[in-house]
Amino acid sequence: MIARVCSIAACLLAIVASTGARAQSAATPLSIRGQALAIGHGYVIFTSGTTVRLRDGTHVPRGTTLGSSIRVRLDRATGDVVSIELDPKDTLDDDVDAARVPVADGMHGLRAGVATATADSAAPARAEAVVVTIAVTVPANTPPTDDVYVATDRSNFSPSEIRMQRTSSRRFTVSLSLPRDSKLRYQFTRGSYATVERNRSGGIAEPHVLAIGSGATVENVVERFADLN
Amino acid sequence: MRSRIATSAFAVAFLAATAVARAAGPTRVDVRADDVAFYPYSDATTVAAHGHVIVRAGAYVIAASVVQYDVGKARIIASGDVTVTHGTRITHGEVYRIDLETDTATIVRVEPTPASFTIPGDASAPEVERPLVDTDFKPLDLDGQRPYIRSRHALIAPGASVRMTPAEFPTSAGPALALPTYLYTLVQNQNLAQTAGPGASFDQPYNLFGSPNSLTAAHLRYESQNGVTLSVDNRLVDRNRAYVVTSLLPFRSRRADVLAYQQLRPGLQQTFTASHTFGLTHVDAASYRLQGTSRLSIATLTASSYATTNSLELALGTIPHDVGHYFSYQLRTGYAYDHALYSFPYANDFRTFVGGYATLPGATLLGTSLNARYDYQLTSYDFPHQTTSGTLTLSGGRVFSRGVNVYATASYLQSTSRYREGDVARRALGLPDPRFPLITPDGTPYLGYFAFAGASTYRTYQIQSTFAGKRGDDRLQLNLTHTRDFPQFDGYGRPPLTASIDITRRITPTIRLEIGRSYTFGWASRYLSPQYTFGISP
Repeated sequence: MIARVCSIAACLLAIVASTGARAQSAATPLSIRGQALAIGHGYVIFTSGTTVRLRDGTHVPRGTTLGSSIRVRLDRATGDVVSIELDPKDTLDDDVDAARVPVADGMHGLRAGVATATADSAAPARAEAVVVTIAVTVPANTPPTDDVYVATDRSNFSPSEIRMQRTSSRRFTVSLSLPRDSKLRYQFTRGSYATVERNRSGGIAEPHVLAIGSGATVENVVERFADLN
Repeated sequence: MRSRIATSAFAVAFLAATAVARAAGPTRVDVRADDVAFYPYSDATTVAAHGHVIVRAGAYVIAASVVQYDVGKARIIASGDVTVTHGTRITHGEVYRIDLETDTATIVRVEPTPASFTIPGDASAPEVERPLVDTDFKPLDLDGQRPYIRSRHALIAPGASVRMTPAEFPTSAGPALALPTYLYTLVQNQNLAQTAGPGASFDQPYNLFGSPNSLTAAHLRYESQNGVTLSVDNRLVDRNRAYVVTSLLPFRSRRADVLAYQQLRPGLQQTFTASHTFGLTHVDAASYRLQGTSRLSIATLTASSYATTNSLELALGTIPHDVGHYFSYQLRTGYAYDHALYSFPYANDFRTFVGGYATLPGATLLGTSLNARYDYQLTSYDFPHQTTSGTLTLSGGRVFSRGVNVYATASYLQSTSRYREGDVARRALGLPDPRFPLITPDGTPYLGYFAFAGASTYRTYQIQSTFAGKRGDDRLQLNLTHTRDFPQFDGYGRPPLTASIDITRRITPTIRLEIGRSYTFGWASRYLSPQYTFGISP
């Protein structure tokens, strides 16, 4: 046990020494940000494999669990975790991405300590909502007075899930607030499944797939509706 | 009886052709814990369990403090005093991950020394120490995320369904909606949303049973004619090639429906529908349609039966043709036989029809898109009767900003229904004598040809304004419709003026509410005729 702790501390101190150019005070704690895998048995383990020792009596915030975004502050002298912050909102100068910590000797394939990288990509970003506009051009034989709907995988393709806004005789749009980096599968209908879109030869059309990045307008074309020859 | 035999034959043929895809890994994963939460994210559907977690997946039994099961990737991550039993092997550690499809696992231990190991699927093979890589553990950060369902027990059939028992649906409004059990289908097949029965203003399904290619559900429905009612339906799907939907409405509507579709090969499909209404007025209806599509044309053979009438129709048409950006058209013709059992003197009749449409799309003037379209169909019966229908529709739309747009249409429809050898047919059908004016119930006399020849005109003027909120899901839509028809008089035909308002608002991240209300003015001595519609969608 003593040898292991010394190994972690030695690794930490070596890396701290290598970052001396930053002229930090020895009293300033180091911090690591990342996703928690486990906290217990005297250790904090990150998803990257970074494993740091937890000082006895350190408070673990309520709600910290598998997958939580955390920041741990380390004692520079011992390398022990002295505090844990759940879901940190800000970025500190000392923050280091847990994935950038090098594999340490004596840690059997796990990581320990702090590298020189900053934490610009430390914690996975929480999915934020972006507004995406879905536009569609329908076939010329679409009845001029019919509404067009979007059926998505969010409702298991309920055929009248979201009514679109008509902007011209053959073009409809709808704007939706969707989580960034998610995917949306959708089809167009005229309100019932008997009027769902079909491919050009009349077969069942595969749903459109939208990978949600930044807000944008996505153009679609309906080749044919099931009930219109 | 014939329709029932045909239904059974189609269903059997369909089932024989349906192959059930089975993924590797256990067919059932059982998760029990103090708290089991379900997050149906489209890219990472996850079951997360906290407190005294026990997971049974095939030969594996995993006990831990916290578990995340990524259902799509068939991957379990367990954390906190993990104990895994696999046959004769019992493994302890702090963090454990198993990929159920490849049957390989990784474990991290801190005692006696922090280290990570790969555990092979063969329970007798030794563990191998290896460095951890970033991709070994990728749990979701679920802090602050509201689960779709909470429970204490989840039974997952990978690729098919998740059953939560009991099931609580947390809401932002406070109290959770509780059900004794709930089945969530994991099958991402849009054909599982097919319906065979009549439409409803509101339809809330409650899934009963599911498999990778089927779903059985009960539905709470609201029908404008019958009010609140219940139905049960079953859907069988074969990827995107075929489906069979059967539906039973035992109360109020009292009917059973079947809908089946099969793509025989690209460009050739068959569709079968049948319905039986039981009770005092029982009605049988069935139709079969075979449709082939080539590069330029569409051919459709339809056989249908409704009560005592039967029809066989062959239709040929072009596909919609765009001629440049300024003109598009479609032509259609066909021949049909109609049999109506008690319709003397035309119980057996043949008809020929020809029709089509032409549009002038795409013109834009001062920021307004303009469109003109003309539809026409002429049907000539062997019994000396001929109907025509011609509709001219003019429309214009303008988008003022991302949130405001206006769309206006004016449509003129004229239809005629005339009888060759007029006097014989007129008398046979009991139509009024053209020499005398037709007096409508409000005393309006209709003179001349139109009074008996069945010519009518429908004029519709509609303007629609939409105001959308910044979030996109919130919307206010106003509609104003004016009609001017012939014949049309107070209390007969369409109301001359209708205004409606439709409000859509997302009230929670998972519930969208749509409320509509319409008014008709000055019609049949009524100045207001309110109607409510509402809908709830994710």
